[in-house]
Amino acid sequence: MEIMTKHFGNVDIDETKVITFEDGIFGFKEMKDFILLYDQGEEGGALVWLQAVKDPKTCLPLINPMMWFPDYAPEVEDDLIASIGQLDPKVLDIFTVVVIPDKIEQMTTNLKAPILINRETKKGRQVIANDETYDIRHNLYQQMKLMSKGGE
Amino acid sequence: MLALTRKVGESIIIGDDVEITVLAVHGDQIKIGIDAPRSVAIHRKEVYLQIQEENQAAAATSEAGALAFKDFIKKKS
Repeated sequence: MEIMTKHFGNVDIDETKVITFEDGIFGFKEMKDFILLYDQGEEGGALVWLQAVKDPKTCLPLINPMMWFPDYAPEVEDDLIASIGQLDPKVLDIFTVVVIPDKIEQMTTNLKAPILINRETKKGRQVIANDETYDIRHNLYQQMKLMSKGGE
Repeated sequence: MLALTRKVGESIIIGDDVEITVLAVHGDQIKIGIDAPRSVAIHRKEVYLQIQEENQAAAATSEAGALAFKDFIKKKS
């Protein structure tokens, strides 16, 4: 099925890879079906785009927070995510939403409201973590600099 | 909006399984207890609104922003 996307023009997507957010995501409650698009064409790029199937404009950049925040462990009510299926780490992907302003030094990620996707059931949900320690606007630029320095 | 007057210790029931109790009142602060099934998401409204705004800001990422990110990552690796 071909869809219009915000950053990649027309893309032929595999319908079996569509992820359903039964409750939509915050601010886009009416959008239920999304597809993950990878920056470098395949998994492994730092950014992942959550593209709404029915609206090219609705496309959010995500990261895998574990890459940059190895200790990230948000506390979420099990019952809140029961609707997306089993909580098996083998099939559960976690992402956080990134805001990239024109000044990249100011880019942030929302550690308070991660997006969970169950690869097996192809269902997703954005949840709000109970933890008071996680910020809605955590500076990602600084963290990326810090992490790559540590890795050298 | 429906307005109900309640005293400390009194509750209201919403539907069959959500109970909201006024626990304490101190000046303009009210402590509220909420008893609801764990599958019901409960949020402070300001947090909820902020998260909506963040998602909308994320969706507004420009082509320039996306490119700047790519450049930044390239330099890192």
